[in-house]
Amino acid sequence: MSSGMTIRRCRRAIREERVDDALFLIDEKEEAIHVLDTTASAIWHVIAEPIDRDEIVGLFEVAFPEVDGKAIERDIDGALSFFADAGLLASRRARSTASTVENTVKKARPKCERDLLS
Amino acid sequence: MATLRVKMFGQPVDFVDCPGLLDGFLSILTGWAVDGPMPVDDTPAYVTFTRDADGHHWNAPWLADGCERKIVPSTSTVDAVCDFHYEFIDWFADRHPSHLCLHAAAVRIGEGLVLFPCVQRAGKSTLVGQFAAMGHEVFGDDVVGIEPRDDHGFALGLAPRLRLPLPNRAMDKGLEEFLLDRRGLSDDTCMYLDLRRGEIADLGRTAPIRAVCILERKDEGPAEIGDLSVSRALRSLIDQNFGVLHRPGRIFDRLRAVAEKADRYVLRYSDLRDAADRIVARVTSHAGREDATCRAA
Repeated sequence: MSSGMTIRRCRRAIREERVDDALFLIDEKEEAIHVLDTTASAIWHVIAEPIDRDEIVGLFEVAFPEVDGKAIERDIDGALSFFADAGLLASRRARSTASTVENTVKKARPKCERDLLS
Repeated sequence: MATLRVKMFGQPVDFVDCPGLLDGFLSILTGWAVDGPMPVDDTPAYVTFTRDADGHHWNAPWLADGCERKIVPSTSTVDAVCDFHYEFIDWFADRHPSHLCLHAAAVRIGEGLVLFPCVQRAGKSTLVGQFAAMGHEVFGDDVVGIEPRDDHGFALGLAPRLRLPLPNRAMDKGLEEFLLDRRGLSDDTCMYLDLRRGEIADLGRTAPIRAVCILERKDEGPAEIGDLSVSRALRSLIDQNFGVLHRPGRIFDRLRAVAEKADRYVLRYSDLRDAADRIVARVTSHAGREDATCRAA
């Protein structure tokens, strides 16, 4: 996610459900359910209003002074990449992996290869 | 070309040059309505299986995402049954759009089901065999439905399938003898269990889901049970849902209700009998608490 880039959530309604420490985002239009961990759900709340990517980093650096700045940037970029991939931001970007976010999207049926036998 | 036609749930299914495949399927399906063989007329087949020099093939024009699938090289009956095993589940899901389908195992202990969402190589099929050997009814070792009325577990009537060789280190002599006695369609890499009436639930049999249990294998030591949060149970259920994908809000609500209502735990185990005993004790103790609460009320 580029420095100085303004982040906006997508315009469509996304239902939010908190269960324990996880936040579930239910996207009826895209037929997907996403599960966010604590960090990603915090970022999701921060981007409820348009905000610059660097401002998010600054907020987290203040909130978690004991955490390495590079790690914070990595987590934030990972979450933003995930939101973008999932179509949860106003503008999409190329597909990538987000390590801080766990997502549960359209599932394929179980594979039937023999090496999946348990 | 020799075509053998049967009807499954009233729909024609053709086996072209592969009569052994029908016998193979019949040996792993419990409670599925299969009539025939019957004469082939002009009615198009709902599903056609064929065999040629390359292997077995499947053609199901009704499947939204693809219809013809070639498996190379599933030349033996066991290979073909293994490969096409899941097509029956797709078929079921297509015809029952309100049922959820979970990649999970389930056994009935008392009046309720314990659901084991799939974790790769957690040993759930062999554990299911252990439960069967102890007299508990198998609802599935790999896929379980959830019916729409009460969100109860729903058996798909598919025989458990175990990888070979069996994990002898994790099982006692009694289980080994039970599994070998129930050995059904098999080759040297896998075996289906040919369970008897009462040991496996027919397609369509339902029971309330009393517990959700995540399995974790460990190398040694006694089985341990830990609590599982609602969110982790729910995540595992959502992650393993593959039948219905539209209306995610409805899916979420249904699975959340299942996760909240069920007893939830993580089982770490090395020995199958030890694991099954711990689960039975936990389920029985939980059921006892519920009964006591009901009596007190």
